[in-house]
Amino acid sequence: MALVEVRNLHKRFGALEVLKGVDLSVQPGEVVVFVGPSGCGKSTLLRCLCGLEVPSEGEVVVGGIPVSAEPKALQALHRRVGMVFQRFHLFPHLSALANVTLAPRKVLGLSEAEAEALGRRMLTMVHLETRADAYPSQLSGGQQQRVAIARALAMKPELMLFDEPTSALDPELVGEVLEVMRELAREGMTMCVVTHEMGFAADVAHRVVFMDAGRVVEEGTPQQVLREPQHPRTREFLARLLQR
Amino acid sequence: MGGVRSMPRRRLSCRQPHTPGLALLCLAWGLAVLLGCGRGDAPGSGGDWKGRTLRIGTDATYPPFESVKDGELVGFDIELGALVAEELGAKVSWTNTSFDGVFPALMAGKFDLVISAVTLTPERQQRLGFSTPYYTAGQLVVAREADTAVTGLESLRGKTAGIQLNTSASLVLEKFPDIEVRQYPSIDLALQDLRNGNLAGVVGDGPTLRYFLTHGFQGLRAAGGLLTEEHYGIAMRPDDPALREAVNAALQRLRDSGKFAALEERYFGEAAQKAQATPPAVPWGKVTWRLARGLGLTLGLTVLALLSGMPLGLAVALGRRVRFRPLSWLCAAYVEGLRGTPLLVQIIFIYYALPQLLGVDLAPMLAAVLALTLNSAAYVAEIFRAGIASVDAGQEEAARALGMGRAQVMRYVILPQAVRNVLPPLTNEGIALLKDSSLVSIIGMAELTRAGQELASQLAAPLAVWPLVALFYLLATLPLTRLASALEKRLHRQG
Repeated sequence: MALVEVRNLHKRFGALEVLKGVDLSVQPGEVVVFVGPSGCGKSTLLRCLCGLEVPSEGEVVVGGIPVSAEPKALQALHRRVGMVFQRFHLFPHLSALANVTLAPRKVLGLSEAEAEALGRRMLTMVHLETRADAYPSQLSGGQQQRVAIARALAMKPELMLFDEPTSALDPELVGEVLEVMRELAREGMTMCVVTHEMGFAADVAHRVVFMDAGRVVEEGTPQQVLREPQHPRTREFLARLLQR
Repeated sequence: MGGVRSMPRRRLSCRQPHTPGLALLCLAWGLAVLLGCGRGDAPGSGGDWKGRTLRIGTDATYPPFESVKDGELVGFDIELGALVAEELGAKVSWTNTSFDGVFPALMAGKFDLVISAVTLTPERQQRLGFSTPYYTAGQLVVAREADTAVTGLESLRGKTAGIQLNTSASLVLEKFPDIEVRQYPSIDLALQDLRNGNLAGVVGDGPTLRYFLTHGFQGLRAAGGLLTEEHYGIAMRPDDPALREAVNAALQRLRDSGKFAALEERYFGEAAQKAQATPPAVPWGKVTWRLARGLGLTLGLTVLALLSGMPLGLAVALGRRVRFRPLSWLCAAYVEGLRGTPLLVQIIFIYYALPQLLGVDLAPMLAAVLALTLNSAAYVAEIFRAGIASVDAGQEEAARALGMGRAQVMRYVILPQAVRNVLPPLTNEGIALLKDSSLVSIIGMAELTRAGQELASQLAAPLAVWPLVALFYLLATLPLTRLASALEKRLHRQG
């Protein structure tokens, strides 16, 4: 059974319709990369998957939980889906370790000691075990994003969402974050990634979804979508990306 | 971070305690009348006072009738009050409060009598009950010695004269519309301004002005004789005829026994006038001690009001964010209501009117802390609201995406950052509150400003006392500022 089921998803903000009927399913263990021009709705789709946005029309079911405005259901969904933001959104008043342990302690009810052990394991996974006591302002952008990944992983999510995780980083820091994501994919984590890193998409993704103007235009293996795109809009987009 | 650093400066409208003056008195009076003239909790006290306590109010900035010396009330009126109480077989307890506040407090049943050199005027006689007159005084004009052009009231036409706020001098000057009148919260400040050359004359009660002329205001002189014949009476609520009869009978017995004459001789006889001829040196030790005690009260009031105002303000700020509309509207109305009205009016309302509405009596200290708390909570609420709004929206999304509930997000993610952002405006609020706490002197709290007022009039030395008062305020605010900036530095080292 699919982990993510999206049927005829519409999302409107006032008069603006950002998603115009999206259908999608993601299998457990699958890595799906979303590409498309900015404003095409891929970030909004991700936010609907983690319940930060509620569908205007249609249906989103993640791990058997339908995304709705009901607070309890939303909270249950949040626990099972990890979200990594473009701009990290680490808690600036907490150390790296405390960023990672806050939700396990307050939401899962772990003891101080259990949470700390878990937190250190997560920081080790992202190769930041030595910076546990540093505050976000003392970390580089790449390090901050890796702490953010560790923070999401600490909740033991079934699905990890990445919303342009490297777009806010200096070019030399992109690699360390992608490396962590690669390792995560290798371990079998189900991942939905919005990114412009075509190399990552080609190497890691099981499936690439090209979106434009609120709709899925075409999807398939990286080979199909990135090397032999069928749709003119996909070709146009990839051509523009290569020129840069 | 930031965005809340420049909160609007506040409360300029009520910094000077004397500005609202007459209007305020009328308001308080109106409230008292509206609420039934204190009948609620102050029934006619009757004529038999044996073994009971006679509560008397006075404004002890008016020597030789009433002033504070070494922490004790002294003066003609004070001794008269003691004699009257003795005649009635009653104990006596005094409340020293500002002249602005003394009649509203009487009407609200806070005390039974006012003995405070109160001149009988038709207006006052309509609203208050009075004993038979006990002292005959009159208005006097005081001018600079060098300024020989001023010979009396007529010679002040086209010039500026100073008077004490809410005193009967205003009745005399009403008939001279071409004399510009400036009102002062206490008479010594008017005399100081006269000495500084800003006034041509000061008009006020003869006995008190003569006292000041011989006690520190050298270089000034009486210009002409008494302008009017005025009578001082003991004031009480108008609905208390039994008390009036008892007081009048006591005054008559004091006259018959010669005790009254002896008292008059001591204060206003020739020996007394001579003894006062040399001005006393300012007793710095005592002044400092009195002011230090005033500062202690000021600090106590401020700290108590802050300790309860901060949590209340935070609760109100959070209340404005809840989805339950009636509660958020209530919190918004609270903030607008308390920010939009002067603190002085709030203090008067809480002390004089609230007890009548609720039927409970509030001690001045409690009323003062309550008023300052409620007022500062409104400002603190706005500071916290701005602080919460200044936290990046992504913080809430990140926390929610981790499965945290609304309350947890607020408690563990938003508030810690908001508090750090609002430390500078909170410090401002603390300092503003410290200074604004001087307004509670209207309900008789002898905090720093009031202590300064009393000392300045008693010693007839405003220029010596007020700079010291300012220094004491500075001493109190500096550590607060330093503490806040140290805290700020520590918090910012983390982020």
